[in-house]
Amino acid sequence: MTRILIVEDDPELAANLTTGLKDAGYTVLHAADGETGLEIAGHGKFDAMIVDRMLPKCDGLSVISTLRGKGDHTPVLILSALDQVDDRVTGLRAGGDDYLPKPYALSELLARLEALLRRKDSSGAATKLRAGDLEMDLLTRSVTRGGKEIDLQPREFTLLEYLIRHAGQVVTRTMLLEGVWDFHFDPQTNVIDVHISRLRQKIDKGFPHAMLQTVRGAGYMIKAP
Amino acid sequence: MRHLAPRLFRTSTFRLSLLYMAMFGISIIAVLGFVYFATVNNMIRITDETIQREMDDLITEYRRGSAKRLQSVIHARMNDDQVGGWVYLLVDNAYRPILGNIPDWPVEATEAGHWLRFTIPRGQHQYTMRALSTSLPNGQLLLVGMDIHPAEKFTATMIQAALWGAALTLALGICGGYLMSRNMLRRLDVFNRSAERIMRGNLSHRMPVVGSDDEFDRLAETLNSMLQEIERLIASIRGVTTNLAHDLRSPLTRIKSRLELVLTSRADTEKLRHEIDYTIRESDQLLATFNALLSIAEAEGGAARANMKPLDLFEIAEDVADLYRPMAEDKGLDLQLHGEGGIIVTAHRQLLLQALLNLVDNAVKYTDTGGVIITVANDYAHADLSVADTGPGIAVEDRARVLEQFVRLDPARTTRGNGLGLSLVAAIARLHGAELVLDGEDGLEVKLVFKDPSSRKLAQLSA
Repeated sequence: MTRILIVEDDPELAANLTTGLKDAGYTVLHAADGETGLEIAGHGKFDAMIVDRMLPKCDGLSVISTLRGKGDHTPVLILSALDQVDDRVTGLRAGGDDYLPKPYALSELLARLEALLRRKDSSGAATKLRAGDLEMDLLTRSVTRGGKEIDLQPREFTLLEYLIRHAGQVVTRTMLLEGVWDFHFDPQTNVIDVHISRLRQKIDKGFPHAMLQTVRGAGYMIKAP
Repeated sequence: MRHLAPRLFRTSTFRLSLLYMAMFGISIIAVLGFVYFATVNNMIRITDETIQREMDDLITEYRRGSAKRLQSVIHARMNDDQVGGWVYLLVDNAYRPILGNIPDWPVEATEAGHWLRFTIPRGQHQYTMRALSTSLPNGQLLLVGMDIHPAEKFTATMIQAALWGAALTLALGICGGYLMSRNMLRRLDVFNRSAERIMRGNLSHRMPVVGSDDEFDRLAETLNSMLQEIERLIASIRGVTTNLAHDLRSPLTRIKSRLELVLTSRADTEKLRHEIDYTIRESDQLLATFNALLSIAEAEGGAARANMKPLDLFEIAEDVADLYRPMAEDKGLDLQLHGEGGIIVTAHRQLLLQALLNLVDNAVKYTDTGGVIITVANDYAHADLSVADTGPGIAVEDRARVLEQFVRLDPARTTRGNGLGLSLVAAIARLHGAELVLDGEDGLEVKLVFKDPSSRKLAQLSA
């Protein structure tokens, strides 16, 4: 069972989040303020934490830096109403692993949480990535599917690399904008979709199984057959 | 001018004039005091010397001849002294007068050879005398003195002058301080009353400018331009609030009516799912509006200034062009990037990216045929980042208006958008001290003009 600790003071948001995470198959514990959060975190082993920035008694960033100070490296997703680029930077500097501004879509949160949990597992710097019959060589920057060479533009290569690193997980449009283009804001356009459909043309055309799938209302996923 | 008098004495002007007055008074007293001591000392010294000489003369006469000769000389001296400025007295060893123009040996002259001071009555007044006594070899005692009454009178005059001077300084200081403070208070009262009127809600009221072009007029002008800006901001906030209410009401109404329909229609799961999907998309649009407002607030707040770094404009342009090229190609548009690297401006990367992205997004969205050109160019004074398209353009009279929040030129609002895109670009331009220029004859050209760019090439040349 994957254990998640939520530290959030808004009871309604916390209840929604708890339900959403339980439905997704996680075991969830909830703390309503920073001190309780620290106490619970100190007693049990968690796979990831979701921490609100504004908390009574001890604010979210202090909770994270206290944990990090104790040598606890549990991945932390920061939630915040301060939807501003510079706050994001402060949050990540304090030791958070990802940052999600409120209001967020549950699908976005689940995708990012999944990415955080996987990041913990992934071992070292591989030079080859693989998903099904799709292979990427990061050194020669070449891509093959079923032994057939696929020619990609540099940006398409980065996009595919990001998707394969998160293979089997939902990757949202904002995650792609952050991870591939380093755009830390939501541009409210469907510009990513065009890039995805181009990439899909190159890697899926002529193959019976479509690897690059659209997850409706959430984002995209590389899925091996 | 009610309660003016008590307030007057608490004004800084009045306190300042009192301070000046005190300093002035002290310096007057110091100067007079110096003159007084210098003069009086000098007069006493001269008097003493004269008396000493006279005494020496008389003793010489005594030595030359005898007591007889001394007496006749004294006699002659007394006759010569018409003014009566000198006193002489010769007494025997029992202090009985032998010769002189004062009747008795003064009690102050106890020891021979000493200076003394005594008074004698002459007519109505007491005259102060300075004298020297000496004993002669035959046992007689001689006293020679001078009237120092003029010196005393001078001293008194000096003290009087000093006192009058001090009194006059005090009077003038208080009067001057009073007048200056009253003048100052009157002018400040006008400012206070104006400020109170403005605080009571009369935002169009202004500080009075009397035309004297003094510091008060300049203060009034500065305050007036500040008030102008405040009035403009409040008006624009009111406008934004109203527009926001309008823009949010329609989607919320749509959501509500559709949800009501679903509630009454006993729809199946698939239908419900569809309706929920629709509601989520509508609320996403609402959230997008709020996010855009927050981004504008961030750019206008100026806190982002702390995170500004020197950036290469061309790299920013490349990032955005790279993101939009496939979309433009799909629409059959030619997206070009002109210019070269090395033009450095101090900027907030994410906000500048967002500004350029908004411009390119608009250009691609509104252009159906032709292309979009992103240009990075510079000369010595400024750097330009421009996005030109071959779309429908914006009429000259609408160009200023589209920068305002919630303004959309498409009256039917058929295209997606919230009317905040260009407002955000304008706010980001302001944050960077850049000028936002809307131009173009066929299509639209939007240009961000950065002042004082630094060129990497120039830096290398000088290094």
